Formats: sequence, C-alpha cells, structure tokens
Amino acid sequence: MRMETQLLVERYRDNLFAVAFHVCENAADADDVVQDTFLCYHTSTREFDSEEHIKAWLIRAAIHRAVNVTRSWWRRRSVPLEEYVQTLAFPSDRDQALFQAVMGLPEKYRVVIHLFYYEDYSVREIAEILHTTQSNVKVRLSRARGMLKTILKEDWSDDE
Amino acid sequence: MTNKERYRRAFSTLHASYPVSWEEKTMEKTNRHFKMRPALAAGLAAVLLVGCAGAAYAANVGGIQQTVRMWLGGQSVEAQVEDHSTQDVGAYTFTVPGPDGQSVTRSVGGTAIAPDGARRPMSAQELAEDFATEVVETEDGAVWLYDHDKSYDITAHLADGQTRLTLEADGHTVYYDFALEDGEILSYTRLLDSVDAPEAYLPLT
Repeated sequence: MRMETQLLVERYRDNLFAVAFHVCENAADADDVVQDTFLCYHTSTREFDSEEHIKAWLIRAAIHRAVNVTRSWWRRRSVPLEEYVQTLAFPSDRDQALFQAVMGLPEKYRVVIHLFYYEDYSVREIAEILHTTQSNVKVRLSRARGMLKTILKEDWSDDE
Repeated sequence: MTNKERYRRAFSTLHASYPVSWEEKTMEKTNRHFKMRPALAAGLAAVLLVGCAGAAYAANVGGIQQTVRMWLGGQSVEAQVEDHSTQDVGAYTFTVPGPDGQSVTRSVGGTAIAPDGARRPMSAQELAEDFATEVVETEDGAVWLYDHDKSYDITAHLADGQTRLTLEADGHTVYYDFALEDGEILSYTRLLDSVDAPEAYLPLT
C-alpha cells in the first residue's frame, strides 16, 4: 500500500523532527532531515504493508539521514542546544529538566529512549528500526534509564 | 504520572519549524547535499567525537593556535586550528574556507586507544585525516567518493549493484564496501591494502 505524502506529512512531521532532533541536537538540521525524508518517500515506489509500516520506515530513514548529517563536515549547527532550549515553551521546569537530561545522554541512548517512551515502540520494534539486536536495545535502555535516574532522582521512576 | 507520560509531555514541545515540500523546484533551490563518513571498523583504535561544540562556544574559549593542511572533498585546504585538548582527549576547533566563501568552523575531538588499553589524546592532524575520505550525495542524485586527492563519480557503479570498489590513494590500495537499501547508501567501510577477495573489487580509474 501507499499513502498520500501530504497526509503523512500532517501526521508524522513532528515525529520525524523529534527523532531527528535527538540525533542532530539542532533544529535546522532536523528540519532538513524531515524535508529530505518525506521527499525520499514521495519519490520512491516502495510498497508497504500498513500505515505503521510506513511510519517505521520514515523514522528509520530519518535516523539514518540525521546520523549522516551529524557526520558531515558542513553540517548546519548554527544554534547551540542550550540557546534553542530557551526558545521552547515547557509546561513546567521539571519537563525542561527531563528534556535537558535526555539530550545530555549519548546519541545512541537518546534515540532508543525516544523510540521507547515517545513513539511507544517495543524492544523488538526498536531493534528492527535500528538494525540491531534486541539485547543491544535492552542494554541501551537500561543504561539510559540508569543515567536519567541519577540525574533526575525522584522525577524519574524505576520502570524496568 | 508515568515516565512515558512525563517524557511525552516534555518532548511535545518539539515541532518542525518550516513547511515540508516535495516539489522538485523547491528542492533545486535548497542546493542541499548529504555527506557520509565510513562506518568505524570493529577494533579501531580510536574514539572520535565529532561536532561536540558549536562554533559560537568554541570562538569564546580560545586556545593554542596552529595550522593543519587537510583534505576536504578532494581538495587540499589549510585549516586554522584551536587546541582545547585535555590530558585524555584531543579537542580542536577547525576553521576552513567554506564553499560559499565564508569560513566554516567545526569542533572535533578524539582519544586514541592502544591495544593494551592505554589512552592518549589524538592530534589535530590525526583528526583531520578522518575527513580526507568522504561520500557525498549531491542534490541531483549523483554520488561522489572522495579519498584524499582522488574524486570519483560512483553513481553508475552503485546503480549497477557494484558495491565493492577499490582505488589507489595516499600510497595505499583502498577497498570500499557499500551497504545499500532500496538503492540508497546506508553505510560503508574503508579498508587499507588487503581484503579477503580483492578480485571482487572494481578498480576506479
């Protein structure tokens, strides 16, 4: 099956931006990744099993592109993360603390944490998206949770 | 509130900044291109930390100045380098002439790890060497491979499914293995001087 690109943009634009931001730590680069990922979908002829299949493909494509952007010499890292955070309207200081704690994690932990807690993917689904093993995902999740618990203390529950 | 609810609330503040367009004319105007670094081979004796700090931050720190000649996109360029290294990590801010005439600044760091586990900060020249090889996908869909002073358009080879390529550069025979998915490069590895089946690699001339 295929879906209209415009419909996918309306539904998943912010999802792709968020996951790309977790890799790039930069809104300009994340916007470029979103743009290019949807263009890639639009110009491909690939068939999918379901909308969830398309979403997982888009997220995986966005992660790959974001990683490429961060490895490029010419990346557009124009605004430091700290400055960008100040432009965001967090519901509370605790939300901002959580945001900054997650963005302070190593990249490979940030992405796994985001796919689990924000996108609600299972360990198996995350392993498929990242082309890695379920045990690797479990290790990254465990270490990331431990780091967040150390930083956030009572604001982060033990939920393993 | 659960961790999941808390997480979603915190990150629901993130929104894409500008409208997405897939019209061909719009894409032509963006003049964007993507570059890829080779996948780090298992056991590589180095830890590379690329782009750890923004240009504005680096400019305020100051550090020992030096000049390094390096290869970028098949071109030899002279980079002004500020040294912010610590005892364990080599950390440098490189400034090079950009393609549009304006200088571009990047912060790069790395630690070299010996087989016995001993660590030392990487030098600016060692880190500059990491940028001597690059694969670039241009906005018109062409794929270029840069390795020191060599540059090749490998678009047709990849389209034909030829994912193993070899060339001579910097005094070495270099072997490239590309991993493709749906015709798109996912990653690639770069090996020097010897591989198991060199006859499987197409020489680039």
